Amino acid sequence: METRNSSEPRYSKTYKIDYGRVDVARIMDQIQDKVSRQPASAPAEACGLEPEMLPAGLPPQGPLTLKKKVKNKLHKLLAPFFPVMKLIALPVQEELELTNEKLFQASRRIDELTARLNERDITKEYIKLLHVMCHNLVLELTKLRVEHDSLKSKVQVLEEDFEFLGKREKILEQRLVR
Amino acid sequence: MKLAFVVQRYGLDISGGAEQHCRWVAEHMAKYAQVEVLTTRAADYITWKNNYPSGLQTINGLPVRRFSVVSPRHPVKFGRIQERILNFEHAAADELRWLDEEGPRSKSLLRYIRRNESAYDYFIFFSYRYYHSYWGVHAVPGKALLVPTAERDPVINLKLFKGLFRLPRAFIYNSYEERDMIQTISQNQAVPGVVVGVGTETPADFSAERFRQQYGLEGDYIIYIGRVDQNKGFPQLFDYYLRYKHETGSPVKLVMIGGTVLPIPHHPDIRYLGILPEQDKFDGLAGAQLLVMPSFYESLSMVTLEAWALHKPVLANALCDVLQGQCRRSNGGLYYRDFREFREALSLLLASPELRRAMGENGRRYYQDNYTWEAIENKYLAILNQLEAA
Repeated sequence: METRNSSEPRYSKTYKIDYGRVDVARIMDQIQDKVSRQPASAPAEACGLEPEMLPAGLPPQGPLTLKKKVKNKLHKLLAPFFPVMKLIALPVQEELELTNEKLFQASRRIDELTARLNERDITKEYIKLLHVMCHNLVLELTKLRVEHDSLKSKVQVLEEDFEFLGKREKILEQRLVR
Repeated sequence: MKLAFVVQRYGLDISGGAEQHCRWVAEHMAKYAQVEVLTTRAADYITWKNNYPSGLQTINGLPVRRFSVVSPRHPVKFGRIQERILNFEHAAADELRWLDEEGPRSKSLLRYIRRNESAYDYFIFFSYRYYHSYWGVHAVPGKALLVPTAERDPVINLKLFKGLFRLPRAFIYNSYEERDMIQTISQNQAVPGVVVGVGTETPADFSAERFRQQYGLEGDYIIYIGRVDQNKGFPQLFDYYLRYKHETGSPVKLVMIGGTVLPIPHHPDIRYLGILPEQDKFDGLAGAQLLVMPSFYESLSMVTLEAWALHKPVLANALCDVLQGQCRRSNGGLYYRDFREFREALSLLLASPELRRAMGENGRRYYQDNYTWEAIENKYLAILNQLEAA
């Protein structure tokens, strides 16, 4: 197996890498092994993820920080009092859950009301459109009525003309017969 | 064979992962089958407001049918419902309300799918978590192929998706980790599935020197390409990178390409270049020592494949099992769980050009074997032929 060292002296001593057949898993084992041997107590080495840097849903990772150590100590000290604390906290927790449920129901109600308001706005728009349509219909009907009246009077004039022509025709016929 | 690709948004100007994935696959599969795209009129994935005209249009030679979104998403209301279903006990109806609000609600799209089931041989749905996939797969389960593009985010554990994952005719997964996650959640081993992913193409010409001149960059740099937000591993990467420089005194720069929703720290060695053209992106990648991928949630990571296509090693976040799996399978990158591993892995990669070259070559080989378009097309054809034969 062809095994060569890394170009930098510091790494050539630490990592054994076969550049002809790089095995990532093996390199990572070496890195993790080296990292685990480093002391984790110095502040510069306390390199775990800050919870606020993680997206929701991922557990915090990394070695113990001072904060975590204090938290663990406090946890041990207060452990005997946990049942009492739980008893005290239980009603608060129940109240919190109840409030949360109420808030959620209220939010749902607000959503429903918002939806109904939207529907009402849509109905209002439809009513406005109906008003405009009715107005237009009345306008068209009035126009039709005027048209109807004028056509009616035209028909009357034509009827009179027709009657006159009929009479004239009869008179002319009588004269011709004589 | 007639295929319908069903996706939440579609367009040349849409750069979302699943949408681009769908467009590329659809355009490549058009060589072998009659392809149509069914999508919505939305362009914005936050509100799904109708933006494009409805009806039939042609994009890059493919017919695209757009359907209206009934009601846009209300982000505050959606956030409230999501918080409720992720953190508290809830009923199945609450999950369906979440899905309604998640959108994009396009009833005309679903009606079209139902009425035209016989007109297509298969419907290929992209992104399991959206309204169109959930109800679309329910409408035509016998002809549905699901490309879940699932990440390890909390919504995948919702009960409604367990049923969904047992319904389609077949699955096209992006990675082995995605397949294992979905099979663990839904026990859907009986549903045929194949790990395919997506292909990527590199430009014929790319120049690191051109990039350095254009953006005034000197010295070695590592590059991040993608959106800068919390799910993508920020501001953790800023913290790690600055601590790394402080502890090691390394002159290496961090160059970032992509949109951002977070403030970028003011540091002379952090160069945020914003959204750049594809050519500049590849030029930048060609000049980098390595690609750093700090994302917690990835279903594949196309940019990682692009780095390997350009013989570049990758330094990835091990908390994303897909990235870790890809690095191990390809032997093309290292990964880190915490700052100390980040420091060691980055120092090792920067100190050893030979290791970078070897990993870059491994990555390139992995890309050529699995993620060239020829390989991707063959995998799609194989699953379609398998279904036809069955």
